[in-house]
Amino acid sequence: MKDFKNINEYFLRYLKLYISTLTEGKEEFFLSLCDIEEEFFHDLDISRLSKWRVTVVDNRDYSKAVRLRNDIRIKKIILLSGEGIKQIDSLKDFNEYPILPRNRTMLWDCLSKVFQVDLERSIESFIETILDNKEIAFSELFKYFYASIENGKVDLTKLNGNLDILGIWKSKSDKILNKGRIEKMIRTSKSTIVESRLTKAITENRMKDLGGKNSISTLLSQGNIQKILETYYYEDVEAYFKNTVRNTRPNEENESSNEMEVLYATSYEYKLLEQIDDDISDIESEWLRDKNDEEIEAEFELTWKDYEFSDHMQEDFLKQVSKLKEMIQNVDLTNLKMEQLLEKLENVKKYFLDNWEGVRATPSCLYTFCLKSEGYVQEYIELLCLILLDDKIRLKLTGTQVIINLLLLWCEKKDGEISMPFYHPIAAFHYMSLQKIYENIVRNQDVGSINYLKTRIQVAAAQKVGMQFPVEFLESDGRLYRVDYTTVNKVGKVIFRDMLSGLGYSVLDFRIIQGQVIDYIKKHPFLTEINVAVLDIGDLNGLLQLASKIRECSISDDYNVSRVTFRILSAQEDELKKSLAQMLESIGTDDIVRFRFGRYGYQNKSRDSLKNNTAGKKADLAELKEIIEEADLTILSDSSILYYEPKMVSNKIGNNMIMKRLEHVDIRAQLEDYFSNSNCDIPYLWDTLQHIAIEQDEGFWCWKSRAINNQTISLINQVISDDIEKAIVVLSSNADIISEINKTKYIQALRRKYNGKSINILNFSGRNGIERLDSEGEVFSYSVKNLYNEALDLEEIHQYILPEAKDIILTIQIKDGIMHCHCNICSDDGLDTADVMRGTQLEQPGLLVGDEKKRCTEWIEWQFGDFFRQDNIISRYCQELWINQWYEEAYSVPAVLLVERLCRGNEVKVRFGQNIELDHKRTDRTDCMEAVKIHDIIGFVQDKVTVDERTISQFFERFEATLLERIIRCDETHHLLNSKESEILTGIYERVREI
Amino acid sequence: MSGSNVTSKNSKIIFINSFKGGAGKTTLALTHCIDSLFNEKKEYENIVYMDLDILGTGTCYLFDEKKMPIEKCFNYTQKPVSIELQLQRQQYTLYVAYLNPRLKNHSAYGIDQFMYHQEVAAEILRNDVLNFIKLEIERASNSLFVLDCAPGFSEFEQKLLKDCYTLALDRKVGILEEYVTTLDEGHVRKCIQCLNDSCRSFSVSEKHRTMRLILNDVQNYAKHLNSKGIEVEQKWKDISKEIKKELINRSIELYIWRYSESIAMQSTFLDKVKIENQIDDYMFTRNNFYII
Repeated sequence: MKDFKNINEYFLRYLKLYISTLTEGKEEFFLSLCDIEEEFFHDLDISRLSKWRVTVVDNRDYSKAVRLRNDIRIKKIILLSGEGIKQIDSLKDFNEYPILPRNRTMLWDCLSKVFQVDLERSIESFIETILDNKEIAFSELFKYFYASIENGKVDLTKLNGNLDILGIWKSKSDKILNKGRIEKMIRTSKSTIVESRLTKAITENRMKDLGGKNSISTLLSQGNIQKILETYYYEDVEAYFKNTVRNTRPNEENESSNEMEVLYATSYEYKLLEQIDDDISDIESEWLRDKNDEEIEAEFELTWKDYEFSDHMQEDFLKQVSKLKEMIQNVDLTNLKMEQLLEKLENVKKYFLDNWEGVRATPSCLYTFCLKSEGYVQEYIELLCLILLDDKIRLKLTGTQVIINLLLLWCEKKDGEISMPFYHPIAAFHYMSLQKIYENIVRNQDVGSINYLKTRIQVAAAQKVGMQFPVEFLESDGRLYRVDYTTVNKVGKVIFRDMLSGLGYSVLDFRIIQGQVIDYIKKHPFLTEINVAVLDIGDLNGLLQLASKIRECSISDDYNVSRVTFRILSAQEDELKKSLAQMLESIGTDDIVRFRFGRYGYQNKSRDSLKNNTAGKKADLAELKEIIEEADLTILSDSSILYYEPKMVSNKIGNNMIMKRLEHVDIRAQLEDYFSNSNCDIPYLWDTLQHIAIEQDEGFWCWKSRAINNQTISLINQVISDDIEKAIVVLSSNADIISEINKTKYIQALRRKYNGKSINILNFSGRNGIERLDSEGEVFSYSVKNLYNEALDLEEIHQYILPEAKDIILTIQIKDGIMHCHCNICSDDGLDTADVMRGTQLEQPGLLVGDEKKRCTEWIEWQFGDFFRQDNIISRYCQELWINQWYEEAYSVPAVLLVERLCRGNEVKVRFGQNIELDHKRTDRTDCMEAVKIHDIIGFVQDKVTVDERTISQFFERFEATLLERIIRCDETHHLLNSKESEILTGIYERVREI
Repeated sequence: MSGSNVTSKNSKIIFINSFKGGAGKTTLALTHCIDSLFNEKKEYENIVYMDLDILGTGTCYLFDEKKMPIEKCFNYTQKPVSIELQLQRQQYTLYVAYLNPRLKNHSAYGIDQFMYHQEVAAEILRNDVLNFIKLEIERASNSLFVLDCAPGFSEFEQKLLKDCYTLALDRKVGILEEYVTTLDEGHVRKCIQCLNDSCRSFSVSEKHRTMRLILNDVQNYAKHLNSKGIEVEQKWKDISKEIKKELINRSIELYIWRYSESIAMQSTFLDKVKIENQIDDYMFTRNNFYII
């Protein structure tokens, strides 16, 4: 039993400090502190809090408090209570604060002063992790702290050994437990999990005798879980808690309706992030063995619950196959061809049914699922290839329903949507590609000190890459269906929605438009009311943060804004309204941020009018004009109105190689190609089959869906030239939009990689000026914290490198052909991001201890070296992310070229220098059009081996010669391009100059 | 795809000829090279394209001209130049032996070397080619040589082919002869006649030769047939039957080489695409090159 004598003395000190902090500088206040446990009131001598009038209240007796409040002579009143006084109407004037402050800085300050100890940042982080992951009562935390101090400092052994006070397994370790470990210990301390896991271990005779009257079995039979936590160390029982998975994400982005989202969507995520050494097959075997154990299942709700199975699934599949066979038999084919087709189809059926149990492992057990699905996926793809490559079969099947029925095998079609289950070969291929990525991460694991960090970054990137899907469109019965990307990896099936329904497929949300809205407010400081129209947003993620930023602007003296009204126009109106209702409380009801909803474009139109391209577009444009004219800022988030209707076009590039690969199609080779080159042939196969189902054409075909609608762009230009105060933001997944409309004036542009897609953000406004890059300055700096947060949603990633750091600022330079990275650690608590970015208050490098320096160096060298040089889909994805973010920090042509060079994988010399002049002009950049164009020019020449007439004409179609000249001039001085790029660019320039 | 005397050898010489210009010899020869270069099987470690068309268009115009200056042409150096070819992320080297395009019309060796006599010049060139092939085979036993000849089956070509067969006797070299024609009536008839003449007069017996007649569908006749609803395969079979009826050497295999819009477009004046930028067009597939 721990001894907590004198704890009330410390609590009294705490109260004094806390109240002083809360009331500092105020002459008059009515303050209530709530959530104080009963035990603290017993011996509390409130007379020692004589600076204020203090009284203890509860719901039954609060008359004294009312009397104090009514006495106008009393200016400083403090109420102490357990339940709080919010429900007491007569005390509503009091401001209430919990005894455990939400402001962590305030908490650490009070605790360190009360117990007269210095709190290291690593200890604060450790306790923050606990507070973030578990409901901790103030008394528990206070006692825990009290019990963990020895000789005037926090004792790490005690800090770990006393965790049972917080209802968490205690640990024998004498070091700060890492974030992953303490999180797992918290999860496995839940009484239901302790009970079920330990009971299971006992019944399976796996538990070694931990003896005595306090044996685990005795305590379990008494239901005394707390005693188990007090008696045993985590290290003693850890083996019994393997594969315990948390079912929901921690509260990040909890304003959206992501309750079904799981922390570990797959076994690989679990293995990697929990750093489990066991083979993936062993982990999955255990999961699959426990799958039918109701008690275990109930405790952590494994992801396979998302994957629905019904008894008639196989029956339906067999019916579909029989129907398909019948259809094939009715086609006028030679016996040989008929047999070939039917044999392949039979193989698909056989392999699928033979592996049904393995398929039921679902992508939660990704290894097992992929292993078992490979056979029928291969057979299915071979069948598709047979149809495509055999001229006779192809021609005979054109005009029949065979091809479409084959594509729709396993799928369900109803109410304007097609559901493709996760075991459809295309979906299975998607999961197999994900598995390949995870296998690569597993293979590259090492034992270095930053292994977890490397893994975390790669897993985050894998999750983003996994948001893509190999195919996008499916045409059936004359209707075109498009993948709803919000369903990929989410609900056990991928939904293709009828294009006519207008239902969203966008993965864009409020996070990506936050900068644009705030920028508009900043550019229009005198506006009091701003109307923002948002078209076709996918969900409301990020809305809370945006609302909070708007509120900050509204209370700032710099801006007049007092109300921002969002008019959200989407075919998903109902879903968005529901999401908003769930988060309204958090957004606040102060009327600063308001919402209106509507559907636009889709509600009043008949299918026929929408089918008619021209008529539909005219109507849409008229409506768009009205929307734009009504709003100050209009945001089009990859809206279909930006593009012409999708159409099937002949593929011009690489057809022979595609054909050769499909002649001997091999799923593993396709996966390898996807992994190594971010490319595979499945999309061509899928789209072309849809085409040849209707037309007797040869070659490869694909859906072209992002051709910019010039009428829409003209309308936007017209509106902004008529009214320079208006701004229109276009978010587009068309990679070439910038070059396609680069002659348009008044555009600012950014490029972002967002949820797996490259998004161009174009801001049209009469107030926009052209930002020209400088010709000198081969340096750029960036905040690691912001980069990882914005690019991969990894918060505070820098703390895995340096736990005490608030941020790390890296400055990249090149000198004598060698990359230099100057690493500055920001540790001052009081700095906000902007201050940090200005480069003030950088820690002296001498303060970094050897191990930290080593870790930091290792991470930088890995990121810019081995990781980028791996040249696979993950490293390439990160390169693109980084490039987009770094462009926003690059203010000169050499800096942009430096970014390009850095992303090719380089040896980097790391220095920890405090003397670097950080010339950070700003952090919220809204235009890097020139940088993006330079990137596109370099991308263009990378595809060329030599300069020919076609190269010149293509260059002229997309780019401007003046920018090319600036790049060449810059490279003559700085030599940042590689020799091939330089040669091709010069070749083009010489030809362009002649013209 | 190849005859029996080809597959057993490690190295191969493909002899590409036609009996009229514009049949697509150079494109076919380059397709053999590039297809082999990027073939997953990687049968050959050394692939050499040899432009022996002393009358025809200059190969160097097809590639980046800077890499093929006059001073590096085969008739001066007896060596090929290396050209790096890249497709997606794969990069390989093709060796190209080319003749001086400006001097072709004079003779293979031109006036600079005071060899006005074309026969002597051709003799020297033939020896140089043979020596080069021998040395290359010694260096890399699995080499592929694709010889892009001048149209017609001139004495130069005949002698060279005979030399190659001699080479094949004592070395592990397979010889494949490919003769290209378009579907043009006159072209096909001339081709049949010349092939028959060649079989009668050429000193190597037809049973030792692997010969192919390549029907190059430059007119995109297949598309035309398709649009008319005529079965293309049957049409090819009919054509093949008729041609074979007239050929003395019944073992000649007939191949269809399908039209490629991309290749047709890439040499367009003022919109020219260099081969290096358009590698994918130079690939055989089951659908663009097949035996009838």
